Amino acid sequence: MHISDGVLPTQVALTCFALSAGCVAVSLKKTHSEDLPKVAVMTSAFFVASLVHVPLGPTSVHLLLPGLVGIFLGWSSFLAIFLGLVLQCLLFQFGGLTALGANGLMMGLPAWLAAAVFHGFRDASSRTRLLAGAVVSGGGVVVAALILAVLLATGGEDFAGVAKLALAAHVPVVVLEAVITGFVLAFVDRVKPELLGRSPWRSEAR
Amino acid sequence: MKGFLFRLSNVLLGALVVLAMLPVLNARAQGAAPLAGPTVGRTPETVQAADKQGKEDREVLAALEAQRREMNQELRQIKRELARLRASRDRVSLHDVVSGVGYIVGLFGVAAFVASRKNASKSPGGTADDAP
Repeated sequence: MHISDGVLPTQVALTCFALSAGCVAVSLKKTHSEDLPKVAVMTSAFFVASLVHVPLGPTSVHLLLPGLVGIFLGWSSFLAIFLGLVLQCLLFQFGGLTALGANGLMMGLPAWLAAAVFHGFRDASSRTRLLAGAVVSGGGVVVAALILAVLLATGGEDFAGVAKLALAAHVPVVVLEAVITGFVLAFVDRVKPELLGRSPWRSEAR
Repeated sequence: MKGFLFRLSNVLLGALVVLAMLPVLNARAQGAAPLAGPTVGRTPETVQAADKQGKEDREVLAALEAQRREMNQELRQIKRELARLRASRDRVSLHDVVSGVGYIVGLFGVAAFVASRKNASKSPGGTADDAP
């Protein structure tokens, strides 16, 4: 789910760049220096996750992980995802440089949304939290697909058609991401629960 | 089989046939050779010379054919190599993955370093460099 060069009209691409830059600035401002190692690890995870391909008929889709990144990083997730996208674009030729802003919004906003929703469950029992994390993670992919449809609709594509296609193509990814997030949360809950307990979403209150 | 029959007929019919073929072969081998009639000057010397000429022409043709075949094979090899290369270019290599992760870790490492210096200079004791 990457937008390539030349798909979006110039104004839309520029607007997306401006919005993305704003989001990165906000994300950067809210990132605390002591969280940097965590952000780095999640950025690497996001960067590499795109190489995990799920075969689907003649084509294949790959993991996106906006939900997982959002859950762990909160405000910092946009920064992490944008950096991951830049490197994916430069090293793997995923998506175009001119569409980087749009791709950043497409992956970053679902991450923030996931972080906000998951924050509501931070004090719940670990089982509920695990379930919420899985649902939020799957939902992140759905939101990303919808944002993709909105962005492509500005380029004259049929919104409903693109949305249907993108969602249908990413059903396995939604399921897989929910399962992966569930496993990761269960593991972190047992090994290092403070990684989730101190939610970075409300980091400015600390 | 065709080549064999061709050669056999040459052997059987001898110089006469070679002489008849001479203009054609000559024209092919030298391009602008004058097209002489098949019956021009059938002295033994000319017949012998024509025979020799024909043999040379055939040798050249055979060499060309062999070269063409060799070139064909090499070209096929290169095309295969090219296709392999193109396929590998689309695939992400481990090299790219590792370098990307390295970039991420490095960038955040620099950020953490800068942040730590800033924190240290803000703290009441100052940085280690400021210490007397």
